Amino acid sequence: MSTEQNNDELLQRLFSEMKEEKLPETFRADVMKQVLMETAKIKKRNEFLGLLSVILASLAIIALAVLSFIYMGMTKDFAVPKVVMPKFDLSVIYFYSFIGLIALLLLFMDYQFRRIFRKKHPL
Amino acid sequence: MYTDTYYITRIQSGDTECFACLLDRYSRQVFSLIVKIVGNREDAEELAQDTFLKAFKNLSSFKGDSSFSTWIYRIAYNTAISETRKKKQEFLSIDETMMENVSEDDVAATMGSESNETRIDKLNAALAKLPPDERAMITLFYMKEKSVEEIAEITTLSVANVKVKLFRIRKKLYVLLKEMEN
Repeated sequence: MSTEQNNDELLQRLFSEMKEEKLPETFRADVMKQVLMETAKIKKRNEFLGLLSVILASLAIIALAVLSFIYMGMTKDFAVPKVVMPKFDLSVIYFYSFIGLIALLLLFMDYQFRRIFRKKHPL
Repeated sequence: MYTDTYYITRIQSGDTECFACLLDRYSRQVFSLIVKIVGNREDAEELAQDTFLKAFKNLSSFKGDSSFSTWIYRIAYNTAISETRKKKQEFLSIDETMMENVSEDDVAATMGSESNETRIDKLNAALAKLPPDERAMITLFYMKEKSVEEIAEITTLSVANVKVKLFRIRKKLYVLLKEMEN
């Protein structure tokens, strides 16, 4: 083996025998704390961006609707339809209340039967 | 034993706690490399923390072209070297004639005559006199046993450049060791 190779191997051996520096004991905890803080920051940022996108999209849709109404208002033939509230017929209120009560009664009976069934046949 | 890719995939899916596994695997090596570059434990601890935090923030940019250890060593190397540049330390300059005047036989005679402990102490003293980037390179090659190709990736130099630099750094070390003996 040449002198150069010997010296190279000696250098390699010396480096391998050098004491490696020990990590501080709190290193892992400190880094993970920073990583978790960073994760929380990213999550907040993403939530904010998500909310901002929804708000901007909604505003854009409303603006589009308003612009389209304004545009339609500019044409002479277009007439904004009048919104007419329907007249409330009191005579049907008793009938619909009766139907509602039957529905509630049936729901209550369904709930009770399911309770009894679960007691008899536990999971 | 899971691979680095497995942990990276889990972290990218939202399992942040998995980053602790990568930390356990590489923290000691990264810390010891940075200590060698900056020469100071306290600074090295802060820089090592910065390294891992940068790695976490940029995990999405890790495409798997190189190994994770090469990638994180590159971040550690860049972080440590940037820090040394801020401090603007002065280092010994060794000219070509000094390097040529020290032969391999001289070096063998110098290193062969001493105990291991003395040699290691002198080697550490010699390393401290080298510029940080050279110190990093020689540590990566001998201590971390990285190949020339991996060192080229870490330092973003060409393979040929790394080979030449390693040769010159070895020569510089020999000159410094010989001067210590004299």
